[in-house]
Amino acid sequence: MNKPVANVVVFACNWDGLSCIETAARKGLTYPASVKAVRVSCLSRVHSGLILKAFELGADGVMLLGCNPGNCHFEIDAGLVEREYEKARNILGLLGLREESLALIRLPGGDGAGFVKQVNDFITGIEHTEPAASP
Amino acid sequence: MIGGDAGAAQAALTLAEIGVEVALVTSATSLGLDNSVPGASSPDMLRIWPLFLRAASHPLVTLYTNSRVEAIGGKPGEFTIKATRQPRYVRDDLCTSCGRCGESCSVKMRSTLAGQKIIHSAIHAPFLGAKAIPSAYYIEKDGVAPCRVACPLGIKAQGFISLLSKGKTDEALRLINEVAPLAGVLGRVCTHPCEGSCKRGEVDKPVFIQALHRYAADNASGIKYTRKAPAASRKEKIAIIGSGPAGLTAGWELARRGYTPTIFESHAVVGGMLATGIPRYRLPREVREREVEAIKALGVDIKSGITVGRDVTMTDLRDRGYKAFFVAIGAHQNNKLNIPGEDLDGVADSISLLLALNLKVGASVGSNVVVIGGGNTAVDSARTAKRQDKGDVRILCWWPAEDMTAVKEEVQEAIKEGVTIEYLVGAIEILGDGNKVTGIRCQRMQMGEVGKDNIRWPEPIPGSEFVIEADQVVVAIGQRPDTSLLNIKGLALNKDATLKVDPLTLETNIPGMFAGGDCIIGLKNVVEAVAAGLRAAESIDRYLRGDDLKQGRSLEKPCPAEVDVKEREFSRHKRAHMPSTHLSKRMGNFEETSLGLPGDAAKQETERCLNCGLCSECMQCEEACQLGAVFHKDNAEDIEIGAEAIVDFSDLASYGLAKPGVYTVKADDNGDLAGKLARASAIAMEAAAALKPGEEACQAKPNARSKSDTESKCLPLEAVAVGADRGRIGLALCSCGGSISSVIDFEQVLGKKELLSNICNVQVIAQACSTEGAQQIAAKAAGAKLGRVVLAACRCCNLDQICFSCSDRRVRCQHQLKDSLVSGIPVEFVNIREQCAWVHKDDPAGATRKAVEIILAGIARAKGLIPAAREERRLEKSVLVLGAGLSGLAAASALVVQGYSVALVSGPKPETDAKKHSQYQDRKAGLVRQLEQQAIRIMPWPQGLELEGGAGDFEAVLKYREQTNHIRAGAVILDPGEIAEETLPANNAIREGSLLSRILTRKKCSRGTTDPDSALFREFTIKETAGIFIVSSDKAELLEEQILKGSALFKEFPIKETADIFEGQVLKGTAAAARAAAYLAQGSLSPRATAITIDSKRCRGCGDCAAICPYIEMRVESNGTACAHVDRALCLGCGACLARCPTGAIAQPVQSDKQITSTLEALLGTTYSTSGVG
Repeated sequence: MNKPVANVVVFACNWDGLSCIETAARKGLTYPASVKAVRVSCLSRVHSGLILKAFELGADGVMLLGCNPGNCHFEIDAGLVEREYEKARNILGLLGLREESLALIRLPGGDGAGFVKQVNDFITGIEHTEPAASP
Repeated sequence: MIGGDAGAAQAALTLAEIGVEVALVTSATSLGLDNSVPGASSPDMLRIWPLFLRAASHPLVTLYTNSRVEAIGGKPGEFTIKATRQPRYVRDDLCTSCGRCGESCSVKMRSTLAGQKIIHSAIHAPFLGAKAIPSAYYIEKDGVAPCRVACPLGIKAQGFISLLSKGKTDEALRLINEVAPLAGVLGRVCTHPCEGSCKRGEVDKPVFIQALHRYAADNASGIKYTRKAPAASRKEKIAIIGSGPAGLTAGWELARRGYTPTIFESHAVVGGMLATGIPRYRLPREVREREVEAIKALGVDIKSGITVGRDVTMTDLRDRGYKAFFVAIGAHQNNKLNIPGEDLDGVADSISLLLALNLKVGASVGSNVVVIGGGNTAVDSARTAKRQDKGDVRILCWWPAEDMTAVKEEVQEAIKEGVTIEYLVGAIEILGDGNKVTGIRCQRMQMGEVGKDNIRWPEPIPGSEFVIEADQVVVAIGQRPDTSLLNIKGLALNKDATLKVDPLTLETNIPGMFAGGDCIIGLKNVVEAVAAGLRAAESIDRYLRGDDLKQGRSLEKPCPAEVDVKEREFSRHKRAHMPSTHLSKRMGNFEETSLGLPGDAAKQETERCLNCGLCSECMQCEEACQLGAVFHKDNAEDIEIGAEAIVDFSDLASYGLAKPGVYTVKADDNGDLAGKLARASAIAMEAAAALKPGEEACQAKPNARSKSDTESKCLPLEAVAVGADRGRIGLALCSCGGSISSVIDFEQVLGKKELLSNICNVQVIAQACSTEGAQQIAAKAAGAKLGRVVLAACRCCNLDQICFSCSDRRVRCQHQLKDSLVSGIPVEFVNIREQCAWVHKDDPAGATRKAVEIILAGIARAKGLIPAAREERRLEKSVLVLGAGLSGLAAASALVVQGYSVALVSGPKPETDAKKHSQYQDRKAGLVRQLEQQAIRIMPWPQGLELEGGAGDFEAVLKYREQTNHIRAGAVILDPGEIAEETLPANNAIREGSLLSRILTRKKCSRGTTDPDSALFREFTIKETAGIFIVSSDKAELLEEQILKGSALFKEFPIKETADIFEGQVLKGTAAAARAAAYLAQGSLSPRATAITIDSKRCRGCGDCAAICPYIEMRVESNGTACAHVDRALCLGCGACLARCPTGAIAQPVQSDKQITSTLEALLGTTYSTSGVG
């Protein structure tokens, strides 16, 4: 298999989001090494500019991984993240990039298996819609 | 603090925070939601995980896990707690829970966790991978496996079987050889008492332990004995007489202990009965010779062909300097039948016959052979004779088939080979023609009554005599030793000619002379002989060292593990069948008949083991652990703890350990975690009232650990690290005892140019979270004058926060570094364990590449770290209590006792006592009296209430018609009574938009959160509190309201329950006081590393930030423009405001856009592909 595996940046919130990534490790699960997490205190810290920056720097996909609505430890309105997510998606569309390469995933704390499934599905989704990586 | 549940943790933390030293004692292996273990993975556990972690890692808290309280002595003020710490077998100060031991463990066992069956190894994390404190692994042992108890040698059968199950044949043989030599011999001819007690026999048939023993011996790459002392390190000369299994084993063990013993053997061949008695089809010569050679190689000198007593006397040996003797001459003298005709030609004794047929060329037997006897020698004689292929061979056995002492398998093989066995037949006379044997006159026997010796002996049946024709008779009715040749003066013998010895030490009546094997009383078989050899070696060693021969030794066996076979994990396979040569190929030769199990059958057989002892003590985990944390010899340990007060969360009374003066918290919370925590806080406050730590606590340093900080207080950190160059970055890689470095290729990582060009030095450490690890990092940092350190390990942030992902090891890592490093050197952490090595085990090349990328990202962040100047705000040591219901009064009174100055204001809706229950009034009057004694009066609710100043140092402005009161308060406790807190501000003099108002109405403005306790849990997780503690109205109040409203209901309501409601209110007030006290005991407030700053010059006053954050306030400046202000001491650092700010006025150094962008650049700097290597 010589096909490059999609480079995925996961912006993970420090709380439930990061705990999913940690639990995956403790449970002995694996996922591709091309998935790289960037820890932020809360997903509400990530604005559309940062998401687009990740794409600009060569990410094939960006995943926003955070707490379920209502579980935010800063009690930040979940709508804030959604707005930035939508904004970034729209811009991706405008730029002619696939909107599927951006995902907003919310999981309960400690859901390691859930994270691994989501990230694998996400990669499959990206690779499926992408005919070939540009040289 | 006795108990390990959330309540105990909360009480311990509360007390520790107000300056009390706490011992937290729990019988569980880890702190957990309740005392009775799991449920550990539940969402609640995750939610309050930071509470557990903060409690366990508080410098004033000492955690005793696995420790059961046995007795409590003394009285309040001077209790003594006696407890027993059960062995964990893993040192929790060293274990990093890397899991390599678990991977090496060959035992599979079954547990139930939260209703789910889980298969796991015997060494595992507490709660099986769910979060635990301490996170250190532990080993499940369930006593000694019955097979090991049954074995005279104590061979770890379960251990070598589990090793074989993992294909570790060499390790299996090594484990056997730790205890005894001669594995190839024992694996073939041992009487295997282990199988007799094998619990698998209760399921179907025992595990074929002997065949597996043999498998290990035959298939390992060679015999590699280990030594206990260097060769020839002991000079004393030891003579061993006889080279049978007893002599060989004694020699082996003595050689391992550093002696060079000499074995004297009268035959030309070495091995005693192994060579002369046991036929070669059972024990091939090559096997015996291989074992003998290995023993010789260890340093045992064997002189064969020398008969002691004839060629050399005991006196000679003494004269030549031999200091100790082991007589292991075996039993080579055949017992006689003592019937007529025993001296006829053609009558042979089994010993001579076997010797002749085994070793002498041309030896022969008759064509009609009768063997008399029922033991192994009889069967061996018969089968050996049968192999001459001359004719009939039959055995006459005195006993019925079930009482025959020969090994059953051997008897079956004999019958298969055509040997006939006549049971219950006794010989009366051997008939002959005057010269040669012609036959035997016999009689039938029957079983008699149980005799005086408790044995049922056979008795002749009168008139049942008959004659059997025979041309050769072999007498095989037992042997005894022949000591006549030895000619030792004064040697005491038993009646049966065996040597008299002490059963424990094997010492004869002559000091320094020991005896064992077939020549002493007892069972005569190989395994007993080997056991005697070991015991004699121990005795001789002690004798030569002048030690007591008996001390600490016992013939008593350990109790076997009690096993419920239904609870065990095992395969359903049937017992393996030992392949053997076809009958047609056995006659006329002495080829081995049992062929040994093939690999797949052996593997399958290993899986039948029930792992009775759970841990098999195969010791693989000890080898796997590079940190030396596994410690199988761990023992139960008595601990004694002195305590001024005891709080019990574990229901000691039910164990008969009730003690007056012990605070007891009953677990009756029905899973209401918030209630549990409130109760725990309140009881902590009660205990604190007795201890009165308040005075010192308020003066004491907030954190005993931060001694280095005291000097650097208020100085910009940059200025402290003298000589260190900010640009000089050092990298430390933690191999985590191999768990990281076994996946990530450190050499390759360190060879990366892009990495090396960014750092000025590199070090690899085994364990960053240990004191040594931290010191190594600190030494390097100081030596190389580093300005920044990047540590690639398991910790992932340099913030002082404890999140759901944190662990005791990570907290320790941070603490150790803080203690060791010259203060002011910032450390950036990169997690290459959970975020790299552990999740990319299947792709080491990819993991290595990713490690480089995430380390580069860490370096980029380290470069951007700007250590902020330290800001501190002293916490005012006083409390304003708003609301004088039972809760408010209780809070005020608890704080007064702790020495805090308290201002008490009546609630917004004055308590209308007249309408209240009399019990309420009594309780309240009591509290008011108590406060009045302290000169505290209740002020009325003001017309205007404003909190000015910042958190920790509020100035409350209470406006009344006539006057305005100014009260300084470090903390505020609000008991809104019957008024829902979010409706308070609008109607009750609290300015809307003020901090107090924002906190009260916060729940209302944030979307989605429905949990009334979320603020409480946030306090534990992110230490979020503005110093305003609200006693929230809950069900109890509502119920009270109902009681008070409906008078009919009120009358019927049981007195006890109304009392409970009122006590509940007192409790909640006390709990709020506990939280306020713990908060104030910090002494000062500092902003978090993540706290934002707002540049007023760039703020355009849009208010977007203030709309989402309760701690940002829009203020109108003197020039009339609006500007956002943040109380940095309260900022949680979520960064939401930063993402919203349209002008860039808000800055957050640790996760600025620039920091995140440089992280992204490093992470995406190289393109990943599965094909590329390095």
